[in-house]
Amino acid sequence: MSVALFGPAAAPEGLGTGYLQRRNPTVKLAAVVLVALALTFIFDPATPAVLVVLMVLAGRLGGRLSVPSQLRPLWIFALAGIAILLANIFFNKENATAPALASLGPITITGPALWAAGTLWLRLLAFALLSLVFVRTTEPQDFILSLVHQLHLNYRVAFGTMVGYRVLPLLQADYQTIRAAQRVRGVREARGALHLWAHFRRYALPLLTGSVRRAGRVALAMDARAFGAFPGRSYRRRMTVGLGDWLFLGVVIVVVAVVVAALWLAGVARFTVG
Amino acid sequence: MLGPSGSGKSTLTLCFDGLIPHSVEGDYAGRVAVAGLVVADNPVHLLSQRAGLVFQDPESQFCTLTVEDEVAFGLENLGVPPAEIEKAIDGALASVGLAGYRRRRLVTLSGGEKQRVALASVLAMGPRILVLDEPSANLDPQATAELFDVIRRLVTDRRHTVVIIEHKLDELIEWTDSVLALDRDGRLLFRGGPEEAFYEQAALLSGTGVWLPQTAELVASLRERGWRVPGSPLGVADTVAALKATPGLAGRLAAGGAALRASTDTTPGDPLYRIDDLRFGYEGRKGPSVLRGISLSIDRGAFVAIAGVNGAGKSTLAALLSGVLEPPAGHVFLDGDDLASLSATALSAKVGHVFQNPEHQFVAQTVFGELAFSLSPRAGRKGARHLTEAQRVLVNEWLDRLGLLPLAEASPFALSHGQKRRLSVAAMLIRGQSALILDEPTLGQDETQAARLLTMAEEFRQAGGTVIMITHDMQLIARHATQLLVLVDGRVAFVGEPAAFFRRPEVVAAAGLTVPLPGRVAMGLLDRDDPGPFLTAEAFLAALNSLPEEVS
Repeated sequence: MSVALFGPAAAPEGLGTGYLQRRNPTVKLAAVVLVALALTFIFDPATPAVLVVLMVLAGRLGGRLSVPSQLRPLWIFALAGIAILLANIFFNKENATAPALASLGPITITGPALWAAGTLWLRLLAFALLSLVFVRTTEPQDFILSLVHQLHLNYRVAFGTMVGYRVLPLLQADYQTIRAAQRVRGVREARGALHLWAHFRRYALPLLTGSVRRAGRVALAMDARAFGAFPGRSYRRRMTVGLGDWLFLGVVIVVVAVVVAALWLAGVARFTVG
Repeated sequence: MLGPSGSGKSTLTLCFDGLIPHSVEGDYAGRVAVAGLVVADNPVHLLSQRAGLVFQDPESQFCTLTVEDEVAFGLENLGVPPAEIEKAIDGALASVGLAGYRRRRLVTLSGGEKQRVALASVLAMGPRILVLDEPSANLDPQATAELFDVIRRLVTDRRHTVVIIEHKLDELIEWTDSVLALDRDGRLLFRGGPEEAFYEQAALLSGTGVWLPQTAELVASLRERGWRVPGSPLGVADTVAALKATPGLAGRLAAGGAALRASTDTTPGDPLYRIDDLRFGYEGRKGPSVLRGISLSIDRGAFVAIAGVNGAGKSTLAALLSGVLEPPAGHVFLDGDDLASLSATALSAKVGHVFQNPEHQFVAQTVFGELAFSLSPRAGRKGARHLTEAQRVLVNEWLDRLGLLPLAEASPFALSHGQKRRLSVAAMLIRGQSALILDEPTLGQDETQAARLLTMAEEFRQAGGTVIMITHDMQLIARHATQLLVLVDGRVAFVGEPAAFFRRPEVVAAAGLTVPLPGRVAMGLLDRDDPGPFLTAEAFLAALNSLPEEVS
C-alpha cells in the first residue's frame, strides 16, 4: 500500500560505470570538501567560474553525465543570482559610492556591486554543481559502506541512515496520496503563508501515523534479520581505497592549486584571508 | 492460521522468532518454544534462523536498495563469511524463481517480485519454519498464484514448515495440513485438520467472521437442498469427484444451466458515465502512457468491477473518473457534462472516491466530525459548528447504522481497521452522491466486515447509486458485479457481463485473472472448457431448481 498510487513509479537506473563512479566514495567526498574549502577562501568571480567549467567537464568525461543533465537542475540557482544581485544593489555599501554602470530610475548598478554579486552567485553555483556531481556518481549503498569501512562509522548508525533514505520517497508518495484523498472529500486547500499551519495540521496526523507504523515495521524486520545482534558484521562487498583513488585526489588538488595560482599571478584571484 | 481481523494472528506470529517478547513492548506471559528453543530465553537472531517471518507489506521490510544486498542483509548481520553468502543468495533467489534478479534495484520490481525477494531474504538465513502474514494482500491474482506456487514447492519438498495467515484460503486449501483459528478475543477457537474445520466446525468458524473455502460452501449449500454429496472435499479436483459421485447432480446441472442461460437481461440502461477514447500518461504526451484509449459507458445503478493485474491502469482510471486526476477535455462525460469542465466542488458533490487506506481520508478530530464534514465543510474539526438540526440527526442516524454511536467523540484514528473502512465509506455515502468509487474495499477484511461493506454498497445501489469498484477478488465480481471492465496494459481487454468474460478462460488467463472457484468445479464436473453460468454457489442452486423435481 505504500506504492505511489497516482504517479509514475520511480525507476532510477543504475549510475553507470564511469571513472568517477568507480572512485571510492569517501575519497570522492574528501575531494569535494577540498574544492569547497578552496572556494570559501577565494573571493572573485573568475576562480569559481573556471572551476564550474572544469567540474562540468569532469562530470561529462569522468562521470558520463551529459552537460544538460548537469546544468538543468541548477535553474533554481540562476534565479538565486537575481536575488543576490538585488541584495547587492540595495545593501552593498560600495554600491552607493562607486560610479554607476547603469541606472534605472532610483536604482543604480555599480561595478563593485556587480562584482560581489557575480562572485557570490558563481560560488553558489560551484557548490551546487559539486554536490550534484557527487550524488549523481555515487551509489548510496556504496557511500554507506565506505563510511563504515574507511571512516569506521558504527554500522548500526550507517545502515539506519540508509533505511531512512529508502523511506523518504515512500513518504513523499504518501503525502501525494493523502492530498488527493482529502481533495475528493471536499477539502479545499487554502493558499498563502497564513494557511501553512492549517495545511500542516491537516496532513501531519495521517502522514505521521503512517510513518510511525512503517518505522515500527522496518525496525521489527531489521531485528528479525539479526541487525545489531553483534558489534560487528561481515560484508559481502568491501569498499577499498586503491592507488587510483589517491591519484584522483592528487589530480584534484593539483588542478585546483594550478587554477588558483595562475589566476592569482594574472592578478584576478583574490583571497578572503590575508 | 485463521481468525477475524484484530484477533491477534499477527501478534502471535511475532512470538515465533522472539520479536515478542524481545523487541516489542508489552505484557508477556506463558511459554512459547520454537524448534526446541524457548523463545523468552533465546535471542532473536538465533530464533530467526529457526523461524523466518515474512510480513504483509514487502516495502516496509526492506533494509537495502538492491536484490542481492537485501538477500545478503541477514547473513551479513550474522557475520557469515562472504563466500558462503554468495552461495546462499543464489540458492535463495533460485528457490523463489528469481534467479537472474541479483543486480536489480528493489524499486524497479513489481509487487509480486518484491514479495518473493522478501521471502528469499528470509529463506537465506536457513529457517525450517516460514511464517507468512497475509503475503498476498497487495498482490493481483497472477502474482498471488506465482507466490503460492513458490510456497507450495517449499511445503511439498518437506523441508519447510509453513505457517500462513490468509483471509481467503481457496488457492491454498489443497496443501493445508492443519488449521488454527483464533476468535475475536484472541483465544484459540479451533485446532485440527482442514476437513474437520470446514465441514464439522464450519458454523463455529464462519460465526467469528472467517471466510470458508468456496468449495466447502458449495457442498454445504447443496447438502442443505438435499443433495447427498459424499466426503469432505476441499480442493477443486476432490470437489469435482465428490459431485460426480452425487447421484443425479451432474445431469440436472447441465440441463438447468442451459435453461439459465436463455434468460439473460438485455434492457438498455441509462448511462451515467460515457468514456470515449480516454488516453492518459503521468508525464504528458512525451512520457509513457498508462491508459491507451479506453471507451465504455457506465449505467446508472450498475455495479461495475474494474479488474486487471497491478499496473494495468485501474487506479489511474478510477482517479480520472472521480476527478482526483484531471481528465483531458472531451473524453469523459458525467451525466452528459464534460468532466474536465466541472469544478472540483460540483464533481465532489456527484462522485465519491474511497481510497485504499481509510486513514488518508480522515479530516476531522472525531468520528462525528468526519460525517459532519461531509455535510458541511465548515462544520469544524469536531463537527459542532454550522450544522443544522436535520444534519445532526442524519449524522447520528448513520453512526447508529455503523454501530459507531458510542464512539462518536472518539478520534477516527482510534477505530479498528474495519470500523475505519466503514466510516470512510459512510463519509462518502452520506453526501448522497450519484456514484461511489471504491479502491479494493475488501482488501484484508474478514468475511463479516467485507459482507457489511458490500451491504452498504448494495443499499446505495438500491437507492439509485452507481458503484464502481477496483478489485482482485473474483468471488466478489461473480457475486455482485453487473458489469466487468478488465484492463490489460492500459487497454480494455473486456467490458460486459462478468459471466461472458469467464466463459473465455484463455482471455481470463491472458488478463492475469482466474475463473472463480465454483466455475472451476463446474468445468471439471461438466467436462467443459468454460464455466458457463456457474460462477457462484447460488448459480448452482438456481440451475438445480430450474427444473421440476425428479430425483426422489
